[in-house]
Amino acid sequence: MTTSNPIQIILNENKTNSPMVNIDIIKSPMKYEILELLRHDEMNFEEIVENTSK
Amino acid sequence: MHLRDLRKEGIVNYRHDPIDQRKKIFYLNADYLGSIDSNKSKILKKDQTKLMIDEFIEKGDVEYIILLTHAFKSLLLEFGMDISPVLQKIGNHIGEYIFSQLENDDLDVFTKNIAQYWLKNNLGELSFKIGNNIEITCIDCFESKESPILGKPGCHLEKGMLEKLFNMFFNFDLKIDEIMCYSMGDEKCVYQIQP
Repeated sequence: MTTSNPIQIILNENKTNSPMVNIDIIKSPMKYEILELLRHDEMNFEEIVENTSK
Repeated sequence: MHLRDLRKEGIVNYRHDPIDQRKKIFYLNADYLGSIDSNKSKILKKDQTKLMIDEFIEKGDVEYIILLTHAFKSLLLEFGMDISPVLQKIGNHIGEYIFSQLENDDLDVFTKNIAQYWLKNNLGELSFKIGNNIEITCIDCFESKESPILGKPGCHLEKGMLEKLFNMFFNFDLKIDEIMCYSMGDEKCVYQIQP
């Protein structure tokens, strides 16, 4: 059975280079993991490294 | 590296820890809208979603369910999210559920039953023109009457409901298009159904 990586949808109004489209699609598994951590709480760098094992 | 990329993209940012200035505290700097995980969708049994919607409809009244879905759609639009295919599918589920209440072998009676149902549930005033194609007009459409002019059809829930009702009546899949809509600046919504 094939599995595909989940994606995240982010409304990013901080982009200055594309004023019309502010949606970011995150496909990278590592970025996904980081955002999963940060969407629940802020976290310092060491904790992020520890939680993502990288 | 990934964290740096996310910061460059403006998705995360950091501030210095007030206790230890050497430490950086990272936080999400954008709105997390949601995620799509096709692996999770495989966990749901095939008919589970449909059963949940049916149960939801059975427990509440249909007008409430439809208005709730409509409110949800408007909230998502505030984020610029268009979930029209999902709404059409929910409309299909509702159409399938109410078909048994409205079905009749006679097409004229069937369309009258649909029109009465729409009126009774404050969904709008329907009229039908039946020829080679079926043309359905909806005045005071619940889904788009108050809608701003978006320049494209906006009644995906209603479209899904009508699509399923007529597919089940004729027992094959028909093509339904919304050719006029309040959200296109028209004074009514018009659907065309053809084989």
